[in-house]
Amino acid sequence: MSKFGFDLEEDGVGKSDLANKLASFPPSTPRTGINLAEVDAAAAPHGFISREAGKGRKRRVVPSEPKRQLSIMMPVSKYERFVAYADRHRLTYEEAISQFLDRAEE
Amino acid sequence: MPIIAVSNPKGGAGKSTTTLLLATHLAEQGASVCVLDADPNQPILDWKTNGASKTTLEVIGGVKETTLIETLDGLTQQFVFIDLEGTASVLVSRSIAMADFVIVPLQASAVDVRQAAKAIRAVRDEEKVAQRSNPSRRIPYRVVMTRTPAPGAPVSSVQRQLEIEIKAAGISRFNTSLAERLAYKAVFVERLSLSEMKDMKVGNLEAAYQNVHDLAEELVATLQNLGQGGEQ
Repeated sequence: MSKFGFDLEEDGVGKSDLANKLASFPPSTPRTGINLAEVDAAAAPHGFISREAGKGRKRRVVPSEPKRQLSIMMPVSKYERFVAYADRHRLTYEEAISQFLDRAEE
Repeated sequence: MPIIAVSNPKGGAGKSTTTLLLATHLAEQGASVCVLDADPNQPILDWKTNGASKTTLEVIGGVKETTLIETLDGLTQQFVFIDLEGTASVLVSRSIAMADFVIVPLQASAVDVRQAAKAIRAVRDEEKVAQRSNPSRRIPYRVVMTRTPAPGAPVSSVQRQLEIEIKAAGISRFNTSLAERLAYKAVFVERLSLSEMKDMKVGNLEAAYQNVHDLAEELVATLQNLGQGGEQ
């Protein structure tokens, strides 16, 4: 017999008390109802931040077509409306104007 | 059933040692056990893949913030340990949020204790978040003192003071500590479990085995008391 008690038998007889207790544990089951945004927000004040490097922003593709400058004077209200639209839809001003043109020519 | 996160944002607190000793011991006692190695150094994955241990323990490495949940969802073992990195990260806090139980290994040093306090505050806050969707959800935790003097050896005043403060703060801890033992270092060197080293000349293996057995028994009894053990 091992002096360390390593030679446990396969059947219940001779099994350690711990081995018998382990038999009552059921298998793991998937978690449900985890809101990761809330989980991350709760941990952030304690310094738990992401340590995994993001993919970073992709470099914008430079079009081969030549570009020209367009400077427009317009009333402040229209200017603010335009800028707010571009911000809301995460568009550059050029992309916003292109979008308007595409829609107008549909 | 239990998912057990082993966490202390301080490196070197004994997370991987505690995880590997408990996981291999439970596996040898007949439980199905999996370790998610979420430490960037992958010490337990290295132990498993580059060693010759015949343990039934399964080890999954390369766990990331974005893959944690789907990895956990695919597991069916009775015990799942998550060995976490020694830093405060989203991976750590998400693991705590997913856990049924958190073990906070702790050495008797001021830096370890302060970092452990950070982990305990995170456990409590994640529990509050979880209770918004499930009021009965609990994330219990226990501190385990690591690298303590072997029984009979002098205990430092720092450790005595720490034990008093832990008790005064109402922080739950295991009665069993993991003593500083050469056998625990040898587990990683030889890439074998404690019992697999029984024919090697490793210092006081019997005492080391008994220490881990006591801690494992206390862990299982604690989980059963928390209702994690199914029918008893």
